[in-house]
Amino acid sequence: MTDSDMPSLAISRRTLLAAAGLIGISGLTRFGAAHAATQLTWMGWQGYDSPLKQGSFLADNGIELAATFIANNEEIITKLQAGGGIDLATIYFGHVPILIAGDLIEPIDESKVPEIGKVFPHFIEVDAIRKDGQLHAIPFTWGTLPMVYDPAVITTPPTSWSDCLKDEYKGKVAITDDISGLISTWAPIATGTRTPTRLTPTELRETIDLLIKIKKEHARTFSPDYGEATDLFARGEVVISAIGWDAQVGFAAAKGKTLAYVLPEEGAMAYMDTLVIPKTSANKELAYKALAHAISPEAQAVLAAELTQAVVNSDAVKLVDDSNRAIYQYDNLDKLLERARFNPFWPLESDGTHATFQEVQDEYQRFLQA
Amino acid sequence: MTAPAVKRIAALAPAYGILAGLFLVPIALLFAVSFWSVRSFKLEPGFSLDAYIRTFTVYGSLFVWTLLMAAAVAILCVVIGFIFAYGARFRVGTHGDLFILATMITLFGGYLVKIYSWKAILSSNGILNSLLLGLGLVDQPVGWFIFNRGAVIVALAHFLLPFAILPIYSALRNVPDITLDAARDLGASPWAVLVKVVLPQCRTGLVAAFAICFLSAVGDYVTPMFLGGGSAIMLGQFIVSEFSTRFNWPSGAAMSFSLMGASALVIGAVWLAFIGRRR
Repeated sequence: MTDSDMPSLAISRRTLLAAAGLIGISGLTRFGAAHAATQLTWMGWQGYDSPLKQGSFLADNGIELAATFIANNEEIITKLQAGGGIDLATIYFGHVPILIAGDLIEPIDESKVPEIGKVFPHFIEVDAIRKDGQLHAIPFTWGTLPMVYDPAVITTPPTSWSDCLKDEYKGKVAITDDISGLISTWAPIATGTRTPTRLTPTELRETIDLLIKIKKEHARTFSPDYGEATDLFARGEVVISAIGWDAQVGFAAAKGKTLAYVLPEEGAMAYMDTLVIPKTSANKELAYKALAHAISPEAQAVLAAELTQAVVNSDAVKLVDDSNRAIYQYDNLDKLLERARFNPFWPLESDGTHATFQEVQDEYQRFLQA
Repeated sequence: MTAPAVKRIAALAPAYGILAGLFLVPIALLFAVSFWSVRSFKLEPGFSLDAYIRTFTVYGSLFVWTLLMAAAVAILCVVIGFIFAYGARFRVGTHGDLFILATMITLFGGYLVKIYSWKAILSSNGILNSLLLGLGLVDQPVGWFIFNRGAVIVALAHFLLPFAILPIYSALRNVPDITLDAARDLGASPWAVLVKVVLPQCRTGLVAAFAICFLSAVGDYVTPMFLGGGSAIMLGQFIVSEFSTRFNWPSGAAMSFSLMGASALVIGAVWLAFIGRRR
């Protein structure tokens, strides 16, 4: 390069710097735009965030979703007790009274949830999500814990939970680590109670004794979760369950295994996960928008398609596939929920008669160690 | 303070800072929590031994079983690890390092993959049962290969074996060939060479291998969850549930520190038995 080249180089350098400057400014602008999005913190089971991501909802509302996945519902209580930092959460309906008692969640402003009228009354009217009639949580999804069985082996559907204790199924029974499900399912059989979350200490002990007998004498193994239990069915190691989850039928179908479920004559437990807005939420308006979107038909359809979950919005039923409709029987909810019941949560404080949640957990530890 | 001393302290400060910030302070906080109590999902500071009493009254036998299972895993790893490392050091010539590299490659597979592999091997319709059925050695699948303590011990030993081989091989590399030749020249049998020359010189590696495997196994909770089947349970599973499901941090912390203390005692005893008193 000669000196005579320098002016052109200088111009070129100036041009280059100017261009770089422009690029930098435009980049900064974009960076600023990206960070102009408001972060919405959400906490719940992995996959439950999918409905929030449906369509262009997040982009349209300038939301940057920060998801925190849980391993159990109690983590949400712990997090909120510790101060929060959460704008929206999905939690088991049974825990809602704990959140209400701890003054941790907002009463729901129903005017900000346009789809609320489309939610099946069976779920929106559950007592546990209300205090003095005021709604504190919005139903998000639900399901039942029925008896799951392999129809290729058991051609006549079982009718009673006790059927899994028949000698012919010894060592071929699936049982899963689910404190609420197991005790709620087997307490009526062990004690004759109608409300399995209101047990005297003696009834609780009898229930746990029966569960220990099932675990030791009838179960193939003790599965840590329903996914593992479904694998046991898929491998042919078990043919009937002492506790099941309706979604297992869908999980198994994805593995090429046909399973069926039945709600035995003694009844089964129904569960519901709900959306709550913590009092400490820094973005309540956005949280409401996200909550409203989560129960919209399109978002609910994502929940059904991706997780084989049940929808709560009656308008979403036409958007789910046939297998989902077959599992959850939306047209037959009255009858379904006659047998599958929403139980109140265990007493948190002693009432002098019934076992508290703490005592239930202590007894369940005995079952786990047996 | 002299300039070099200041420089030395400044150079070490980040390391001590990280150690204190990420290890000592959290551990100290957790230790303090082990004396607190919990009520309605809220921690209440105070001084109570209830969590420690609960550890030994509710989980006493499980505590002992956990230590025994971890010891079984560690002993299995040390024995197999020694055989492998001995072969790599003395029997395969210059290919020894290649053998060690091969053991390292097994670590790439990951922990959960190994657990699921053992499920695929040991389950009723798994590889082992298929083989036995195929050979006509059994009429129907054997159910007891999996979901018991044996399956947990085997899977844990398989995962931890490389961590045993490394320190043992490292110790064996420091055993000079000349001492072995001298022993043989003086008429020692192969067994005498092994017991009186090789083992004493690699005992530090053996104890290190035992300690690594024991500590890793004693706190494990995933393997028993998937392969133990509810009967081969370990304390780690309950520490997890105390911290999470039950939100009983004092109990979880007390269980953790009790297990740490018991583990330190076991390793201290092994160290004293094989190294300490000979120095």
